[in-house]
Amino acid sequence: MPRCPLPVAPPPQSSAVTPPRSPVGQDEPAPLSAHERANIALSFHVPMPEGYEEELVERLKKRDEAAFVELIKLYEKRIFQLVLRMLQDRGEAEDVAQDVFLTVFKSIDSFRGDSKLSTWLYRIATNHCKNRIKYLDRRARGKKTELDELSEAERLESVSMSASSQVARPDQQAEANQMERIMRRAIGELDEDQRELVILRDVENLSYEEIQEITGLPEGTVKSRLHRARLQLAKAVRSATELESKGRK
Amino acid sequence: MSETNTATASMSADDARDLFGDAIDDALSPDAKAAFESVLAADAELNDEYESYRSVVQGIGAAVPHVAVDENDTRGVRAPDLARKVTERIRARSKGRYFRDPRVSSSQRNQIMLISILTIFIVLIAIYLVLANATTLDLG
Repeated sequence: MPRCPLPVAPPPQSSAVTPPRSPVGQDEPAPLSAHERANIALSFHVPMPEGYEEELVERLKKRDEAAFVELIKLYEKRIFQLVLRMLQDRGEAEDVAQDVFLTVFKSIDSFRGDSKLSTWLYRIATNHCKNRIKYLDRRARGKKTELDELSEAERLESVSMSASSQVARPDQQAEANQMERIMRRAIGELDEDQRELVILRDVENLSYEEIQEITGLPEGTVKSRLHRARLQLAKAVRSATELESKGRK
Repeated sequence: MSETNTATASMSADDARDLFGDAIDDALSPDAKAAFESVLAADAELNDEYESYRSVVQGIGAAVPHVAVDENDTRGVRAPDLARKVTERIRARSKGRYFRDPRVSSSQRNQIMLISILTIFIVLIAIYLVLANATTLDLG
């Protein structure tokens, strides 16, 4: 039986991707940023010819190496990007992304096809990420010493210093970079469940239905947890911004 | 208009705060949206809170890293070659049961197996001879 051809790179537009939300009252499309292009090119579902996924799964169940390599090539960027965004550390992300595909290899027999392969992969990836975040948090807590107070002081000082350096070089790019750093730190302070939802919804632009499929949570829980996470982020960003303003003065 | 007024009157700041997500998703009904906007217009602090929430939600995407989709994307992170690393790990963990090393041909594998069997055979004969010798010496 001839094999289906390997799907080509996804087209620039996919129904799975929600277009980036534009601010209220701004209807004209803005030029796409690099991360928006990445989101579109690496959208959640890989477009596949009819029957390709079923055939691929069958071959994976037979532990066909070529099929496995095909699967990795199709999803490696997507999975690596998701994991990198959740863990915010390249080394950890690479390690976890490998673990995701090892789990696929070990557990492919349990994939019954009730959901799409991509949903199953994302579920494995987010579970691995959450476990790694918990592990890293435990390890970080275990390493906490009396130097904590010092590092907190250094952190505050660095914010003030960055703020003062911004006064010296007040261009918009530096300000944007500073905001991104604040945001990244705030995301890193979210617990693993909140971080998962923020990344899936606000970064990967998945629909609530897709998030429900991945997390297995009811829609109400997804929305309320996401809301709490966003409030926490907004609060953290506000505090950091206020701290910066004080540093400038 | 009167419906909106009623909705506004019954919508507290906490109620409005709970609708931040729906407002961003543009998922509010026209009445709820009007009531929500009225509450925000009347409460500057809540409005600031909403603006901060909205800017955070819209800014998250830019704050996290993305994978470079092409060579021109210099800000993106290069994805690692996972296929090679993962297949090597599977090969190593399964001790060659899965994903045999393509650099070793089947004839080479047969040769290695033959040499291994011969080595084991020779070692067994050597052990037998040593033991047989020891027994003969003991009897002598």
